[in-house]
Amino acid sequence: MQQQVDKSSSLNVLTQLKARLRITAVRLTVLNSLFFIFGIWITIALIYWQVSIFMEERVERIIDVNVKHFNNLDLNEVIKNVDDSVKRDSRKIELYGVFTHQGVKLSGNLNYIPKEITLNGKTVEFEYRESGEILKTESQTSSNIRSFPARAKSFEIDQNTVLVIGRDISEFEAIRKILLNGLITGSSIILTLGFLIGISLAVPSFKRIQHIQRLSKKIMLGDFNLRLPISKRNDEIDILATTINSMMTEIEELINEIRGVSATIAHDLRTPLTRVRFLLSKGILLTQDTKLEATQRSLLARDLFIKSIEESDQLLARFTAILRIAEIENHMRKVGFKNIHLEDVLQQIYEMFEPIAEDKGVKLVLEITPTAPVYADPALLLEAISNLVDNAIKFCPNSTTNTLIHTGEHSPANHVVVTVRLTTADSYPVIDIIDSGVGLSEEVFNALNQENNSTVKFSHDDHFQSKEESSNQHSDPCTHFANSNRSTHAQLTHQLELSARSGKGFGLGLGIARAILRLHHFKMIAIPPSKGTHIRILCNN
Amino acid sequence: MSKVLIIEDDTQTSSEIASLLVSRGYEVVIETDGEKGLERAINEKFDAITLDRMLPNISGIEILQSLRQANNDVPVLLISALGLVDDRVQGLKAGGDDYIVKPFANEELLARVEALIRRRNQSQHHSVQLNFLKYEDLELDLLQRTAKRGGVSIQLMAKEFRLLEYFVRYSEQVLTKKMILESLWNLNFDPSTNFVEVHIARLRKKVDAPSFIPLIHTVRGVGYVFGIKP
Repeated sequence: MQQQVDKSSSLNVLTQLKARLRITAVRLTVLNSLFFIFGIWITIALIYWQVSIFMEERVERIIDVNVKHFNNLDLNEVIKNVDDSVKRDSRKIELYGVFTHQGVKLSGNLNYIPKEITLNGKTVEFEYRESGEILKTESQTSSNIRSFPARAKSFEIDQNTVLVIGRDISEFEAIRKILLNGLITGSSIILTLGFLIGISLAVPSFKRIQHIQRLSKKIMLGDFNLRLPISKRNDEIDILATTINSMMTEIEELINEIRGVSATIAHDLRTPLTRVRFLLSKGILLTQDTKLEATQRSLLARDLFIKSIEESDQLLARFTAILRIAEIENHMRKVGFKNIHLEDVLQQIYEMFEPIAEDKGVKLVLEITPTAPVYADPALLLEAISNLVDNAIKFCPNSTTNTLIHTGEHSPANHVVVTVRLTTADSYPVIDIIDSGVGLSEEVFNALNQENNSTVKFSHDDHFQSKEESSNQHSDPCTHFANSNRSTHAQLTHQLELSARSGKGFGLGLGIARAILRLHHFKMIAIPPSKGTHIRILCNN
Repeated sequence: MSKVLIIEDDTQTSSEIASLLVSRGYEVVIETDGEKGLERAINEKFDAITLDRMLPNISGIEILQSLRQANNDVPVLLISALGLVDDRVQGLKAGGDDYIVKPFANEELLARVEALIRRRNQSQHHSVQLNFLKYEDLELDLLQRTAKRGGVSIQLMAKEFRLLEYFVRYSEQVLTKKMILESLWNLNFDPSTNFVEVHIARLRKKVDAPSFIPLIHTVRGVGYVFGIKP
């Protein structure tokens, strides 16, 4: 049992180590160390190469000088000079040997002619064994044999004798060994240090990533209000965490919206469905009612069917409108965007609604001041403004006739009027839709204006300013209608739904208009008129 | 007798559509499999096809595209639960002649099928565009954009003229409010007021003056029909 626990804990440690090794900081540090070691190796190899060349040349020169010196001497002088030189060489690095052609030593510290050497040939390198093959006897032990690297060349003194001059190059080997040992030791130290530094750098990142991992798992399980930690370092993890947090905020708000909308849809669909079900149940009971005559039954059944169809149609209309809002908010229709003149759209709306207004005895007034073109989808904008104008006409009390008034003209005072006005404010077009109807409910009015991220206060002559702007009169009067925030968006959706259900009618039509205007980055605000409703669209996208 | 092919995988829906069309004197053929439906549409002669957009194995759009690639110009009414503007546009771009969203009123479907067949017959019989339209004592000059009834000129606004032209072209046929909205105003949305009613009431005042036989009739809960009541 204990063994199993040990095994599993060691496995766990191994897994953690493997995970840490995969961390970028560790990998980069180790990789950096390896590059560093590689650089050192290259440098030392170059140094060694240069030193070798230098020393070889030096040995070659010394041997050549000696050869020249001995070349002019007879055998006796050579032997005498060799003996003197051997005695003088306290470092025991100079090699001399006077031999007969048969290889018998006459003088010097070399005991035999190395087999690599050719008479009067070039300087060669060989491994010299001090005890040599010639001297080696059965009684000598291997421990007595000293071997070392050497370079030497030979030439004839006379017809019978040969002189071998050389030099012990053990120093070369010593330098090579020192360099090699230094390289191995240095590389090991650098690699170990690099690894340790990498691990120490990785541990905090690893811990943060593990923390992020744990949080992400919780978020995946549905805890959408959690956010990733952000340190003061503002490193790459912080940058990523900030982006993910923004994304999470967006997702959380969308989910909240969906929850809210789902509840609204559920309510809006269930209620008429219940009514349809009730009507159909009533129809079944009617067929079983024997007290009624057949004609009477069929008439009542027909009524029930008509009511059922009407309820279903209402249900479908609501469903279509909800889908339409979703479609617009999904930004699916950016293809229709182009530069358009708002006066054309408003003229078309006037032609569409003028008969409707006339039928209701409302004066529809269109006041147009030509404005700069805007980047918009004319079909969508037509739909948005149509909804607003439709609402305006619908909620006006009945009166008399309509007229088309261009700028400079004024409508007679004694009519119920719906005014659609196009003007320019601060170089961008502004559309006003003003009616003298029942007006917006306080909830819808507040929600509509809160959606624009700022509390707006109005003066009676329709000039508006935000609280922020009241301290800065020179700022753009529309800058405070910056990006709408989603929490108020959900709130407005809810208010509109309530309003729609309460029969005030500013429901889905206004919802669709708002979605379209949001898509255009136009701002819609409600302005409190003395009577009715005043909707203003700021077309500064 | 006009022959209509119904391509619809839902047997209940297809039999409902079939019985509806049969009740109006159409001969119908039902195909529940898309591929077989396409084969029949190519190999047999139909006056119109009602095509479900979402079918197993092959989509209605693919059937439509294959049909048009085979140079078959039979009028196709796409029937779909996908009612977004983009869905409609995609359906019509693929070669559909008309688009109806589920659920629909029986009369709406009938009116649209009838309009498709009528349009096909008209284009087959009148290859040259007429500059004049006439129905009984009503005359329309399509070039001058003028209208006369019983020789007396009627003052019409541009939109009213187009509405009257539409009525005359599809005379004696039920036209639903949706059809009128789509054809005349090219609106992809329902203005949600008594929009069509008001415009038609205006036109009616001008065309059906008290001294004339009424030509514009309301079909309750469905739409309008233009013509002399039998």
